[in-house]
Amino acid sequence: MKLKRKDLILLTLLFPVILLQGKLHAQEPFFELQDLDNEWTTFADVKGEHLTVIDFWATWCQPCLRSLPELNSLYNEFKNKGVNFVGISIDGPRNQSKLKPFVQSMGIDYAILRDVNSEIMSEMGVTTVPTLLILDKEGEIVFYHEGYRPGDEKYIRMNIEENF
Amino acid sequence: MCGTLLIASALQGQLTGNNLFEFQFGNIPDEIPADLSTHYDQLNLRYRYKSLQANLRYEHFYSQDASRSYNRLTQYNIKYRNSGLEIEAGNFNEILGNGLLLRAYEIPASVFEDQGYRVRYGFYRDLRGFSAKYNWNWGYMKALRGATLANTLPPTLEEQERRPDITEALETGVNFYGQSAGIVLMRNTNDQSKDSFYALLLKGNISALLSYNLEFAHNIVPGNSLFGLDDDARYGIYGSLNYSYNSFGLSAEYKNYHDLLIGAGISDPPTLVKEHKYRLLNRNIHVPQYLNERGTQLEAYYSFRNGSRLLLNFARAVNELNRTFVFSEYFAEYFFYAGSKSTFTIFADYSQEQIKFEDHRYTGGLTWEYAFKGRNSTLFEIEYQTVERNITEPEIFGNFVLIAGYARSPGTSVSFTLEISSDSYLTSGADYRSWLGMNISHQLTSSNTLSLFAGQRRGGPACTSGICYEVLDFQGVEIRLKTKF
Repeated sequence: MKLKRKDLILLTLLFPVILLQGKLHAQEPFFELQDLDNEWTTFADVKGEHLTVIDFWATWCQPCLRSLPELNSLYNEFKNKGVNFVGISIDGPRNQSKLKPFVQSMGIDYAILRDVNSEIMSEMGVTTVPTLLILDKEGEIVFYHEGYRPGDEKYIRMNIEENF
Repeated sequence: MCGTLLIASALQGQLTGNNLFEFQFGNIPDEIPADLSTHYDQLNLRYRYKSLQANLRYEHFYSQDASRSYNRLTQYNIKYRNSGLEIEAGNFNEILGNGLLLRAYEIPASVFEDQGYRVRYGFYRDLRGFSAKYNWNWGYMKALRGATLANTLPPTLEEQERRPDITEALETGVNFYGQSAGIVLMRNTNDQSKDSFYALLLKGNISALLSYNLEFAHNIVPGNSLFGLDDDARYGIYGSLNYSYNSFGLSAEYKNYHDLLIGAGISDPPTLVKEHKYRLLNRNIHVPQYLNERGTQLEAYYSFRNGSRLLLNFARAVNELNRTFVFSEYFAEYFFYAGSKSTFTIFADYSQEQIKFEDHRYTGGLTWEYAFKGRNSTLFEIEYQTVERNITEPEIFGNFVLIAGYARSPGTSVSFTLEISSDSYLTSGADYRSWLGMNISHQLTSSNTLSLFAGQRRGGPACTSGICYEVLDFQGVEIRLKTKF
């Protein structure tokens, strides 16, 4: 469908409305993905009592692999305080076979879900891996962070504690 | 469309989105004009009200060559999801089984350009039509009908031309005692042919430590065998076994694909080839020939108590085309901590790829990351590769990569990349050719990230998110702004 010039102008004018609406009416994610044992898991199944930390990652992503042990440590630190972690892997068919043995060999304790077609990644507006989101108990995204650099784990901990 | 947006903004739902803007000033080296200016924009809008979602994607590309420019609403979709039921109409992505017959996908925030059309657009291969899925405790079912996008054709062409294939499919399965068995029926129609396929699926856990995944796909031709593996048959066989015990993990896979190129290329079978993150190896990833390829892949992991990790990978593929071509690869990687501030990764790779006339390819490298003063880190990466190639006569050439970078948590990084090659196909008679580029990235706010590239970037094959494609050489400046709202 080709857009006319007036559509482009109206779209630009709607931007402030769009920005405002995004803030006012947050809804918690609604997804159903399979875990490493192919069991269907919804957001409600992994939602934390106070906060939910969602990490989008992939086995082929070097910064993702650097961040996993750090996130696992944070998970074990906060899991009894109403904060739950969930990792969503966007690995496609090429890497699906490797996902479970890789995660288990690394000793990752939190739930890992499979988003084979990056559908949930797109729905949540995530465009790169790794990306980490913190959601409050209403499901609103209160923290959004792309990439991983050494020291990011301190920044993530600080934001968990601030939003706790 | 604008009326719809106005109504949407008044409802008690959630309107979110993201925007990617990319400006380029420069061109492929030696191409005219050297100062070509283009920009690309992709706006994604998502509206959600309880179980209902609506999505729009608008793409815009401007080039000084007006015939390459376009403004287009390239995707629109409405989706209902509730209690295991999902119904979609419009543009959508889907996979059947393990992708042997169909996979529609996207690489988010990825911009594609090929040398023929020189038009930039988002990298996705979606379906346009409708789909319905339902999952329940002991089974699932999905049905779809849609026109698949041939993503090598740009949005400057008419939509009908870009979607030559109509795919109709049904997949259903049952779960029992930790296993899942399913069947797929699919028909793909285009101007040249009408092909029907079926697939049998079986996966599950043999024990807490061992799991498997099997798929057998075959074409359906009246009067022909449904299971025959002769030369006239079109089939795909895939199997995997996965084992893990404490800190040890193992994945073993097998493939046998015969004439499995369907339509304009709607499937994405598992490749059984490692997707490398190292630049030189990523450029040499073996591209499967779905016309005829069989092979295996083994990958093993071990995590040591001190946090270090060892990875070993072996892959082999055989193509029986006009003659037999063999690909084999041995890869090893070791990651370890050196003190509290440094991490190292070393890797070594040996491969042969006869279809590229590369008899021997040796690659090795080292990455060193050093963290200091809490939020700062530096990165050094060196890769070296020697290739023995014999097309018309034997030759040996080398490729070299050096990356040096600095990052400050949480969202700033700068790096320099130097590549040098003595490949005679690239040097145009000189002893070597080099590419030097700089990348800067800064998170302006929690919703905005700005990236800058300046210099020269070497093109060639690249693989991201499991999909391999050609990246063009580039010389110039590139600015990218990602916004989320």
